[in-house]
Formats: sequence, structure tokens, C-alpha cells
Amino acid sequence: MHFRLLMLLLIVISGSGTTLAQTKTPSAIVDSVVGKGLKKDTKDSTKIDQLKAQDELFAGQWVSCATGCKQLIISFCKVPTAVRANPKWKQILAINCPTPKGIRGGGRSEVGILRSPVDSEVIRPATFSLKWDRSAISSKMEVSLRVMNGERIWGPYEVEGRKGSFTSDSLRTALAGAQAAGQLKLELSATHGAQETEKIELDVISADEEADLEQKLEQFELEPNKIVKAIGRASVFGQFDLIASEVKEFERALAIATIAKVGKRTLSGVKKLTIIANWKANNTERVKELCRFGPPTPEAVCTAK
Amino acid sequence: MPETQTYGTILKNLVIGIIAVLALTGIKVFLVEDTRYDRWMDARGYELLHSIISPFDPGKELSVAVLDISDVPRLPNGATPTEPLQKIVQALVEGRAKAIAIDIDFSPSLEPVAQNIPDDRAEIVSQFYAQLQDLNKRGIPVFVGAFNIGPEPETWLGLDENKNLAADITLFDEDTTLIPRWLRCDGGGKLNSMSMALAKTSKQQPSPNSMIKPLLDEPEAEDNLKTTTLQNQAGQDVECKRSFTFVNYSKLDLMQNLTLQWAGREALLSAKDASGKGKFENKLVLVGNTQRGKFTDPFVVAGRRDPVAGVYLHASATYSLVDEPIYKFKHRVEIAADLILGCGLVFTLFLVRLNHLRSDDPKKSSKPYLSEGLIIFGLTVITLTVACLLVRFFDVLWLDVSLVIVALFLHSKVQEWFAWILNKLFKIFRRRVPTSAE
Repeated sequence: MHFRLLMLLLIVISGSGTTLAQTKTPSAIVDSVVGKGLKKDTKDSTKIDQLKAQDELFAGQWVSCATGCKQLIISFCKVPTAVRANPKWKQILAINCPTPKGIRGGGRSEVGILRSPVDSEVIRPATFSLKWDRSAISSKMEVSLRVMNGERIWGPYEVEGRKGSFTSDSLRTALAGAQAAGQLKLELSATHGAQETEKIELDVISADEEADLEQKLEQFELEPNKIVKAIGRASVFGQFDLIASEVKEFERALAIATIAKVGKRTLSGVKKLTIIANWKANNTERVKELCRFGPPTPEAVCTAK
Repeated sequence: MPETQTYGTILKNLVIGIIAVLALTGIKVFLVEDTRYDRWMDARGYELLHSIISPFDPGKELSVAVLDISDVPRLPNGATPTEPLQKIVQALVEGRAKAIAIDIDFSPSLEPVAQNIPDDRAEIVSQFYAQLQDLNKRGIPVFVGAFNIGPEPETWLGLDENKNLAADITLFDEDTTLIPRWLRCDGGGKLNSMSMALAKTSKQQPSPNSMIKPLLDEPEAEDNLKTTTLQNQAGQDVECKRSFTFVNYSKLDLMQNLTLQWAGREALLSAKDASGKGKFENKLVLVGNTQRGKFTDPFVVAGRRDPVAGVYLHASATYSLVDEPIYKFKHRVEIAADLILGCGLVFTLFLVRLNHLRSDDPKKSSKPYLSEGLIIFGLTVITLTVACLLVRFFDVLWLDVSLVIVALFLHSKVQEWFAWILNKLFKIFRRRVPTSAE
């Protein structure tokens, strides 16, 4: 009797253990392996398994693309990342997927009619312009700018809704003034339609950071390869979270790559980067357009609803 | 006959006055509260009362210190490398800091695809965490920032084994008088904020005066928790609750003035106060970027025009938890105070009018508006005095005070409107009575 009870308990315990293991969510998935990719459960483990596509990887496990491995691509949050081909082991970390890139205040905002800048975007006063979905407004739109939770520093200013974009020297001057005063967190409000107000947070790049940015951009001034130059500049803009400029440079790289008829892999790589940049900038139409042509990668962006 | 009519008018005014008090309280509770006007009024109340708290207490040493690391060279992607952080932590340990918190986001995030840039972060950071775990075992707690986290503890710093090092550095712009205290998710762990993590390492956590405690808001009470939804790694929504600390910013200027810049181990260890004690000895130390243009998390704090670095918000919240907490009343206590004050005004006016009526002195009844104005002014002064005394002796900020004063001034107008409406209704009723009789 006791033996049967013990067996029953063991079955229940082992059953619940299996359920737990099954319900644990993987932190990464193996996208593709060319050659011999390896996995182990702990750093010092001697038990090493070979990886294959669609293998699930959990936080704390280690992977390597060592001898005999040409390429190992794993996806975190459905965004593919290459594991460098070298003998070093890389530990899998758990990443909070819904927020692929940290923006203080949390995540992407709901898409309104404002297209650029996006919420929490870092902006440069000298190149600032406002863009919105012109098909959504038929009348005028009132725009104003204020220090976050503070005084209004520009506007309200009426702009023609059908135009779709707005550039103003006075607005740029106000932004430059805020930058000089160290007031780097601003709020832009746009009132349109039936007094519907859309507000976005703007992070003005600091003067020091802007000088640093200029210095980093200079590195690519003499780059003869136009695609490399554009991608390099885009990555610099990306480092400073200047999303609109990043998109512009990636689009430039994609246009050059398409005209120059570069290799399929290069073109696909540039396209992928352009899609991600446009997705970050809330350019949903452009993302859809780019995803329609060629393989729809990255999957996370192209299949997102 | 005329005397009876006057008594009737006074009684009618009393009833209308009470209705006006109830209406004003109702308007406040159902229409004004939680709107931006209410937040604006509360912010003004906070500014006014907060300014009474002394910005410097010569007899008391701050338990919190901030170390500025704005001049530490950055990696090309803007991140702070862990190598200097290891040195900084080591130097602070030698300087006998009680606990250390680094206000830098250490949560693993997915960088935009850049396949040509080697990603060694996990390996480098794991060495740093090993050092911090070792210090924790030796009884020196060190925390690092976690941001954009998921409900599962393993997402805080990438691995479940390092969750004890994580401290939430999330701050909110809308109202910086409230700083997150902890986040608790269904089926997940409880993540302390940076201020709470540091405060928990300190033995001192003052509590309010026992006499007034039942009237005060309890930040960790279920009613005061704010619900937020986070997605887990499987993409499912998980309900989480967040508690907030009501922050005392009175020593913010002092903290900013006492902030030291990291200039190497020797400089840090040689920094001493007047008694020859190390500047970081026995302190809760927050490490972060504080120089304008170098911090990326500026916040607006009530009563100050210039943006303040996020690390000072964490420092002020820590100070509030361990040194000088401030409190606010429970919601129902605030409503009760509104009603008592409102009814007090109405009854005082009633008594004054009654007194005028009974008095034979023509001078007294000739200027009824003057005495009413004086009563309102007197009640306003009493309200403000009580609010100031509450701050001075009990550290309680009666945020509603500005709304109460507005209501006191509006009261007579609202009463007039009610009287007008009631008169109109009465006339309509009188007109209809003969019609129905016909």
C-alpha cells in the first residue's frame, strides 16, 4: 500500500516537473546553423550538444560557434543575432521581448497621426521637422512646444493639416534655446480634428552629445564606398537615438545598394536594417512596403500586426 | 412677521450652504480629482508646503551620498564600461560605504542588428556580477539598475541567479513627487526600486507619529498600488502592481552640493569631512551621471525650473525612506477635512447672521458682507496655519490645501447659484399649483 502510494507520488512529482519544464519559455531560438554549433547547460558542463535549427535556448545556457562552425544565428525576441565564429562561449540571457530597445518611460507609443518624430525620440534642433499623416487631417492643426511639466516655449502655431510636414526657424530656435538651457525633455502637442490632442515627448540631444555626434560622423566623410558611408552614418545616428536621421541614411544605403546591383546577401542585409529603422520610426506603410519585396525579414517586424 | 421671515431666510441659507458644501465636495471628488487641474493644484500645494521643510539641518548628517561618474570614458555605443565601475565599487567598499547602487541600466536589451560589432557584453558583465555577488556575501550590498523589465525575475538582469542584484530604476515624468517603491507581478518576484533596495539595507526607517498615523496614507496598502501590465517572455499579459514613495526633495540642493566626482581611488579615499571621517563612510551611495549634458534622464521636480538627473530622484527617495519621510492624508481624511471646513464656514456664517438678527445694534447688521469676508479670510488663515503646523510637527503635507482655499472663496458664489436655482424651481412649482387646481 505504502509502496503504491510512494510510486503514485513519484509519478505526480515527475509529471509536474515535466509540465514545468515544458511551460518555461525559451529565451532564444536557433535560427540557422551552418557547420557545427554547440550548446551546454552550464559554463563548466562537460556535456556538450550540437545545435540544430529551431532548438530552444534557455537563460543561463551557453552556445558557441567554434571550429567547424561557419555561421550560427539565434533569435532573441524573433530578432536574429549572429554568434561570432570563435571558440568563446556565449551565455544566453533572458531579454524582455516587448521592449526591444530601452526607451525611458517604456515602450512604443500608440500610433497617432504624428509620424516624425516618434514618442521619446532624440532630436537635433538644427534639423528638426515635424511630419504627420496628411490624409488624416483636412483642417488646420495647432502645434505647441513646452518643457516637460513646465512652461510653454513655443507656439501655439497653426499649421495647414493637408501639408503633412512642417519646418520652422522659430521652432528650431526654441529647441536650440532649450538645448542651451539644459532643458532636454520637452513635450510637443498637436491639436487637430475635434480638439483631439496628441502629445509626444522629445528628448533634445545635449550640446556635448551633438559635438560628439559630429565628431563621429566625420569618420565617414572620406569613406569611398557610399553604402558603407551611409550605413556607418546611420549607425552613428542610431547610437544617439536620432531615429529620423538613421532612417534617412539606411534608405540612402538601400537605394544605392539597389541601383549598384550588389550581392543578394548584402542587399538583404541592408533591407533588413532599413526595415528595423523604419519600424522604430513608426513608418508602418514603409515597413509593409519593404516587407512585401523579397523574404519578409526580420520576421518579428514583418509579421507583426 | 418680518422677524419670522428673516429667521426663515437664515435657515434657508444654512440648508443651501450645506448643499453647496456637499456639491463642492462632490465636484472635487467626481470631477476634479485625477484630472490635470487636480494634479496642478496638488503640485502647487506640494510646492508651498514643501518649502517649509528646512533645506539643511546642521545637527543631522545625510545618510545618502551621490558619486558622479559623468567623466568616466564611454564605450563607442555610449554605454559605461564595467571595468571602471569595478574600480569605483572597490574604492567605495574601501571607503566603508554601507550599500551601493549604480544608476545604470544593466537589463539585457536587444540592440539593433549590427552583425559586425562583437557582442561580449554578457561575458564582461558576468565578471562584474561575480564581484558584486562576492561583496553581497561579505555583507556589502551592491545593486545595479534594471529597466524595461519583464515579470520574470530572470529578465531583470538576464539570469535568475543575479536577480538579487537588480533594482528598478524606472521613474515617471507625470508626477515626480511619487517615486516607485517596488513592483510585484502575478507569479513573478517582487523587484525593489533603487531607493527601496538601498533603504532596506539601512536599519533606520522612521515611522510617523503614532497619534496621527491612522489618518495617514499607507503607500503599500492595496488601494494605493497602481496596476500595470507587463508581457512575459511568452508574450502573455501579466498584471503587476507598483507601490510608490512620497518623496521629500528638501535636501536635493544639499545632495547636489555634496556630490563628489569620481577622480580615482585615492581621491575618493582622501575625501573627508570636518571630523576626518570618509565622505562615503557608512553612507548609502548612489553612483550615476549628474553633470548637465551627460545624464540622459532629466526630470522636472516640483518647485525647480532646471531639470534634475534621475539619480537625484532616487537619492531623494532613499533619503525620504531612511532619514526624513513625508506623509499625506488618506483620501477619506482629506474629504472629511473638506466637509468639516465647509460646514464650519456655513455654521459660523449662520451664527453670525443669527447674532446680527438678535442684536439691536444697527452697526452690526449694516455690513453683513464685511463680516462674511472676514470669516472666510479667517478660515483661510486658520487652514494655512494648520497646514504649516502639520508639516512642521508631523511631516504631513496636506496637498488639498490649495483646493480647500479655492473652495472657501467659491463657497458664497456657489451658495448664491443654489439659492437662485431653488428660487426658480419654487416659482415654477407655484405657477403650476393653480393650473392643476383648475
